[in-house]
Amino acid sequence: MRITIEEVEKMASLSMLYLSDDDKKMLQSSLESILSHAQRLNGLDTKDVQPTTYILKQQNVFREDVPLQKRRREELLRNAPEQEDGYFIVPQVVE
Amino acid sequence: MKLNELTITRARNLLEKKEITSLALTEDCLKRIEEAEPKIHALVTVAKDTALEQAAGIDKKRAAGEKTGRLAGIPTIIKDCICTRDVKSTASSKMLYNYVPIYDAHVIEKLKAQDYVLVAKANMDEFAMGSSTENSGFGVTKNPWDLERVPGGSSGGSAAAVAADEAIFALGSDTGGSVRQPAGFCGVVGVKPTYGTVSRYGLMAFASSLDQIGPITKSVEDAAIVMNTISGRDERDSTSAIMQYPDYEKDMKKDVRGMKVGVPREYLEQEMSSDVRNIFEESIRQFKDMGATVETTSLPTFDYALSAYYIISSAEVSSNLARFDGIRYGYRTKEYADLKEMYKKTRSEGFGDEVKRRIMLGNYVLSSGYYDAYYLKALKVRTLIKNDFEEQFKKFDFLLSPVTPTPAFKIGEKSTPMEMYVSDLFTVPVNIAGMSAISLPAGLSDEGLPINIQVITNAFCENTMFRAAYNFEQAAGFAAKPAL
Repeated sequence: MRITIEEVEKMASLSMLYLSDDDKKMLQSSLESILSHAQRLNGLDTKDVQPTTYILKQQNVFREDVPLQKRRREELLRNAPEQEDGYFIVPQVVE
Repeated sequence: MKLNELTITRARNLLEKKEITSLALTEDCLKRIEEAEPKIHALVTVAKDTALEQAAGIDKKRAAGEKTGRLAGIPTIIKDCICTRDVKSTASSKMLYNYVPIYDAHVIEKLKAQDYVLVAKANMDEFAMGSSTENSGFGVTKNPWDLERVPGGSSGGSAAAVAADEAIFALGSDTGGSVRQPAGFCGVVGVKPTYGTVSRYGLMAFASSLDQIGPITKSVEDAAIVMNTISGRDERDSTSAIMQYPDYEKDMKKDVRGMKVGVPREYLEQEMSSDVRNIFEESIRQFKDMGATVETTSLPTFDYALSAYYIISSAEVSSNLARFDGIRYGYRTKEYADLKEMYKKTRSEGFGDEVKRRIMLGNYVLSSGYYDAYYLKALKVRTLIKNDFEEQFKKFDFLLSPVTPTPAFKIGEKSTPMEMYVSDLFTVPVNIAGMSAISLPAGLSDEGLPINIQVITNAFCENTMFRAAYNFEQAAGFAAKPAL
C-alpha cells in the first residue's frame, strides 16, 4: 500500500492542517501501515451485504420543532476567543 | 479504613446511618488527591471548593431529613470530554485549553439529580484518541500499580484515579475499549453499555456511531448502581434507545448455574502474555466451578474488526472535529492573514499528532476513489461482525475473553501507531457490533500487575452481564490494591 507525498498534502488541505516536511513523511509512513493492515478486509466477501452505519434498529426520531431552552447571547459568547458587541469576530471574508 | 477507599455501596450505607458525613468523605478524597497526584497525574482539574460546598449541602439536606438521591454525597471523577457546566472541560486538548461549558451533559444532569459530588475532571488521550493516555495535551498519566507504566486509555485518568482511591467512582467513555482497557490496566471495573443506553448529549464527539459513556468503579455492584443513574432515554440524542430501561441491579445476585458461556477461539489464537493466558484459563475454570457450561466457539470475523474500527472511527473523527475552527470556543492562533490561514494555523497548533493522523486517515477513506474501497467496505464488514455476534447469542448467554493481550505496558514502549492500536484488539469488536461488555479484575501477573477479564453480552442484555460479573467477582475475591 503506497501513499504519495502529494496525497498526504491533499489530505492535509482537506483537513485544514499545515504540515512540516517531517510531519508529512511521518504521516505518509503511518497511514501506509494502517491502510496496509486494512487490506485484509478484502479477504471478506461482502457482495450483497448491506452496510451498517449504526447498530440501533430504530430509524428517524422526530419531535416537535420547538425551542427547549433559551441560552443567553452573552453566555454563548463566553467561550469565544474574540468577540465584540455580542458577535463573534472573524477575519474579513468579503472584499 | 480511609473513607476514600470505600465503594459506593459501603459509603452509602455509612452515610445513611449517619456514621460518616459526605464532607468527611470528600475531604478524604481531596487529601488523597493531594498525596497521589504528584505521582500519577490522573486529573486535569480539581474542583475542590465546589466539591466541599456540594458535600456540605447534601449533609445538611440529610440532617434535615429531606429525601436524598441514589448517589447522595458520593465523590466522583468525570472524564474531561464530558461537559460539566461552569467546570473546565478540555478533552485534554490544547484546542479546548480554556473551554468552560455552559451546559451539563445528560449524564451530569442525571448525577446531579441523585446528589453526587463532583471532585475532579480526569486526564485522557486527546479527544479520547489513544490507548495509553500518553496522547494527552496536558501530560502523561501514570499507572498507580507501577509508575513506569501507562494506565491505559483513553479513560486512563479515570481508571488510575479510581485505582488510587482519589474518588469513589468515575465516568469514562468507550469508543473502542477506552473504558474496559484502562480498567484492565488499573485493576478496576469498567462497563461499555450497549450503544444507545446512555445519552451522548454533552459528550464531546469522537466517533458518534461507537461512543458510549460508562462507569469505572471498585465493584460490579457499584457499576450497576451507576448504570441505573446514567442510563435512560434522552430526546437530545437521536440515537438514545426508545425502550423500557431495566433495573441493572435486578437479578445480579442470582447464581450462574446452567448459564452457557462461549469462549471464541480467535481470542485464544492471538499472541498474549502467559500471565494473561493463565489467568484467563483460571477464570474459565471458575465459571465451570460455579455451574456454568463453557464451550469453545468461533467468531470468524474477529480478525477484521480492528481495521474496520480504525476506518469507521477515523471517518467519523474527520467530520466531528471539523467544528474546531477557532471562532466560537477554544484556542485561536495569534497571527493570521485571512480566514483560511486562521483555520489552518489554529488547527495545526491546537491538535496533537494522533488527532491529526486520525483526521487525515478519515479524510482519506472518505475521499472519492477510496470511499467504496475503505469506508463502505468497512461498513459492510461491520454488518458481518454484528451478525457473527448475534449468532453467538443464540447459543450462549455471554462470551468470555481477556481484555488485553498483555498487562499495562511501559510508558514510551509502543513506538508506532499500529503497535498502539493492537492493544485494543480484544475490546474493539464489541463496539463495532454494538454489544455490551464489562471488564473486571481476575488476578495479578507475576510482576504484580492487574489482569482483567471481559464478559460480553448481547445488545441490551446488561442484566446477564452484571449477573455473570458479580458472581465471578464474589468467587474470585480480588482484593489487591496498588502500593502507591
